[in-house]
Amino acid sequence: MGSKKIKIYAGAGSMATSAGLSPGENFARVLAGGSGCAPTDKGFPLGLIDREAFPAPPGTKGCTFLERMLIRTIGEVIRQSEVSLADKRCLVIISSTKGNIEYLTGEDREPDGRIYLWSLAEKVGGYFAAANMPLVISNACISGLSAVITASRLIRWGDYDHIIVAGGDTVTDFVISGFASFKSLSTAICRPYDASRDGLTLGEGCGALLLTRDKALAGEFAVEIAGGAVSNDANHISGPSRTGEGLWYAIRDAIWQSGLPTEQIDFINGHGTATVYNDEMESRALALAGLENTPLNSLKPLFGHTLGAAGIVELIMCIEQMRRGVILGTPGFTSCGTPVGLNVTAENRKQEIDACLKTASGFGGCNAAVVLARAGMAPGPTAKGKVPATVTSRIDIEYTGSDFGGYIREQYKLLGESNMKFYKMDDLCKLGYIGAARLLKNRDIAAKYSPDEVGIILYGNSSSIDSDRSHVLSVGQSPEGAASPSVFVYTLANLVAGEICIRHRLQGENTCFVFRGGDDGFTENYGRRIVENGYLKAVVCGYCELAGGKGSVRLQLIEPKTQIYGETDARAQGAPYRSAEP
Amino acid sequence: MEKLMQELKERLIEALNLEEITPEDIDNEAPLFGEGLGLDSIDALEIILILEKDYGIRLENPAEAKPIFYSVKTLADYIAGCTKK
Repeated sequence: MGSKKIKIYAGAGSMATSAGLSPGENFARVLAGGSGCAPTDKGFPLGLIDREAFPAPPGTKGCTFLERMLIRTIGEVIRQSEVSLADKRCLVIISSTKGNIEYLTGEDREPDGRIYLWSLAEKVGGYFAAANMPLVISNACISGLSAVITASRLIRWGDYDHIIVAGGDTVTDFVISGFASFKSLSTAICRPYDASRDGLTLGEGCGALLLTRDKALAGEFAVEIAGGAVSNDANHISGPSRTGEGLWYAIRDAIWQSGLPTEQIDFINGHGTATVYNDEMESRALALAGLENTPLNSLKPLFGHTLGAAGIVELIMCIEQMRRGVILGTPGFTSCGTPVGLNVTAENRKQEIDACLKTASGFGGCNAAVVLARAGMAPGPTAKGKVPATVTSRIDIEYTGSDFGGYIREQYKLLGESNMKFYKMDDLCKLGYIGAARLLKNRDIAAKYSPDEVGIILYGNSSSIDSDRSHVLSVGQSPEGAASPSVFVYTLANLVAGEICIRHRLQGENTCFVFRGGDDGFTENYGRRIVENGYLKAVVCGYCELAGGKGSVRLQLIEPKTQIYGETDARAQGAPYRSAEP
Repeated sequence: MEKLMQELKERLIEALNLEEITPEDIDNEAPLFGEGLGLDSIDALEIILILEKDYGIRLENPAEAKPIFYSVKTLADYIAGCTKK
């Protein structure tokens, strides 16, 4: 599977943010010194799109605003590139953190499932009469880059020829109240990396980008996805790492895959949310990577933090900067205020760009990095053979009782652990925690692998629906609409993976997919190929779901075959543990 | 003051999901964060919320929280000081 010659090119891109409805409009907005973020009556600015003026595509009357944005940007990419979703070799991957969450109110059950992320896939797939049901990824604020990285692999492995990655999220009271409870919203437009930064600015948006193996679709200035990696801090579900080690692992692996020397990275577009701790963490990670002097920008002051769209709209802006030979300034930046000094760009400057690094980090401790390179610039990693991998352990837990609290307490006691954090988790995380503890019991993974060699790939159906409801209820019950941060933090599909990473110190890739029902073996197959192709040494993968009083966790541990036969540890054979997929 | 401290302990146990911890287990003067109860940054935000919702006290500058949130005693002293004003 997968030819050695396959390269992944960036094709047509389309985006909509508060700063403009195309990459060109967004670019012009920065050049003109403007921003899409504006003050609101809530006491802080937001990057909102004018919904009345939004050019909705025909046939989207019954669609939500998010669905319209997705359909419009994907439609633009199809129009520009002439790929067809009716083609079985073409797929859409949708990334979103909260989808149509505004439809969730109190205890009402949404009848048509619109609040679930898989419904976006059905809506978009249905609109374009797609041959393949779109795949959905929900990985907090790295979702967009997770989609790009997953898409690159599926093309490289020969599953598809073209994949449109499309990320979108809207600004809702759900999200605003949550971030407000974290005291992380700035009263002014955010100032990434600046000494005066004091929080982020939320924005809404959508971006769609074609990834393809066909260079003819990459345009005159062809850009390649030369590397991409995901890591986990395994430290805290909301607080960024104090060392930057997790993000550094992702940067290190992405650059390694590209085969480029670090010095050849011409500029970095960071996550740069402008919270004190995120930017601090990034500075430490960039220093570990030896990139603290490389020009760095963040465009969050332009269109805000667009959550599940961020990775894609910001990557599209990176490609624009490469094609135009301009490194954009960071709007509003005056003086660097990170513990490690960074080379933050204040002004726009003309410069030829051959390679660029894009990073993102999010709740659940996840980090992602993607390297873009001008076609032909990145040699790729040194080739090495595949590592046969297989399932070495499985667990299957079904819960259908009527007292989840009592059940899970008993299960936890059986583990014989005393972890103060366990009872702070939401029920989905507790269930996943028990499942992973049983799966990894006596498997000795900490002795066999280093933390960054082990990862987790999960899928579920309802994401964090129970915690989503708790959050809505807690906001509704509070006179000032104040949310509880300990509830809000669990309103993401990937938090269960994050908790498992912390408990077992898994610092490798962590990705969460959402399916309406079963996944036809996709997740296990994906996990196995990740190990076979050397991205990880071992991976926990499977299904974790809890909603409406029913729960299920079915996990597999996948390891190199040498582990079961006890022959030789793959590491002892001198195989580098970072992916060496050509 | 004893009554306030007892009440605070009960609220902390409930709001911070301190399973299997009773008010008697929490020493008035022992540090709340770090080792002891294993509280973290999210718990600190929850304590800010307790101050706002239950005592009507808005901590203007979260940076000043550290000495106030040191122990049940420092927290009770702060609440008593605010409500006297």
